[in-house]
Amino acid sequence: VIWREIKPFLGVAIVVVVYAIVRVIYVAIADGQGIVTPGGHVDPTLVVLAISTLVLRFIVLVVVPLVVVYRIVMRVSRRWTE
Amino acid sequence: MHVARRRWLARGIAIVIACVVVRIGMPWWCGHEAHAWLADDADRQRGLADELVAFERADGPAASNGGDRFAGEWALVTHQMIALGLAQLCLAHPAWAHELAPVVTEAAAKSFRSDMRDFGTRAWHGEDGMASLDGDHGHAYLAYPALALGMARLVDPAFPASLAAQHDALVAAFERRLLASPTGLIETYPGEAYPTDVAAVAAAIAIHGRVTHTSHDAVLRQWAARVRTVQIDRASGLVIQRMDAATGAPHDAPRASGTGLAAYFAGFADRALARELAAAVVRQVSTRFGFGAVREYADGFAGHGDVDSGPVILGVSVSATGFALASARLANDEDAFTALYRTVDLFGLPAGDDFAIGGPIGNALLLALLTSGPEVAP
Repeated sequence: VIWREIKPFLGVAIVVVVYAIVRVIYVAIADGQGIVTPGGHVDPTLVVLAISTLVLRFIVLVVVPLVVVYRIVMRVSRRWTE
Repeated sequence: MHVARRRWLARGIAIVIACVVVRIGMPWWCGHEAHAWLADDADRQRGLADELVAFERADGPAASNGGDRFAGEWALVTHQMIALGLAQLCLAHPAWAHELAPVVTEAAAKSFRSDMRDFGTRAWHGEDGMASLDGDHGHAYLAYPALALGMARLVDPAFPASLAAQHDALVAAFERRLLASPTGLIETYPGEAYPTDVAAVAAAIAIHGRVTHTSHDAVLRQWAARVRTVQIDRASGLVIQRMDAATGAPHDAPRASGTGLAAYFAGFADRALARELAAAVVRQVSTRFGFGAVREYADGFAGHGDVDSGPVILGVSVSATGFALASARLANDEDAFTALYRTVDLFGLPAGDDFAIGGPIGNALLLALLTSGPEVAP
């Protein structure tokens, strides 16, 4: 029963975990230096990581709550709709 | 009601509730620290300050002599803004001064090193601004370290006398050049004058007056009058980004990035003028879904981004959005400040006490802009 209730949220949980991992990696690699150096040189690895982190951050802040709230509301209304 | 119809109704309700939750939740999440910054929360300020103190300590003389870690304006502005931000904290929290003031002096002295102004010397065809103080060339970029040195002198009783003498000479040269200018502008580079840089010149002169208890009122009054009559676009209230120092002819459009930084610098010298400029910047704030950003160009003008504005995306400037934080503080506009802070939080990627995307220059600017206020002229 618990697995059946948790299963719909597994996908979003994985997205959140991936975001956390990518963010930690970016912060560690950037080491306080940001994505652009003063000389205008750009580290491609860092830029890809930064963009990935920002895209995942946007997904975690927008898409994840949308999906979670939608599924919770549908779960709560199940008795009424069945 | 038919079951299928109930399901569609439930789906519709679920979508609406989910959208409402995201619409409220996302701005709240990104802006939940805005009020603390606006209220000068000591923990927030100290956290970011400590990160930059650590950066300044790690960035020793050997690192700077390599030449490729920092370059030109970036390095100068990074150290200058660290000095300004930390000095503002010394003024706001005098108990912190014994710890932070030496770092203010260290950062200010770095911003004043000759290798930091190499880019200006090259632009002036080999003429070093500090070796030509008797000349008429503006070298207004030197106002950035001059302002940092002034703030260091203001908060650090152990400020070195030799640096103070050079600072006095530089400010005297700026005062003479600015008084001689019919437009209230002096050149940064040959043929190029930036009202923002000249606002930094005025700020440096004003802080020098506070430190040495000498009156620079005449030059500051003249500068403020010329800003209003020559440098501000009447329709938008924004300053023109680049001008001809001799004639005051515009070489660029009225833009928010220059005005935002000019408003911050003007605050050191003339509170009323700073408020006028800040109000113009806040009028450029555009808010969508609770997130604020600043339109770079005044209505009727268009253009691309550059080193001053950063990328201009859909008309919005990255730099101007950051600079506007100080304008919103000066204008006491909590709504604008919160909306702008949410955007900074979303894209700046907070990581502990600092922001991970902008690097040292981004964090240095944010420290100075988020703690602005104590430096504003009475």
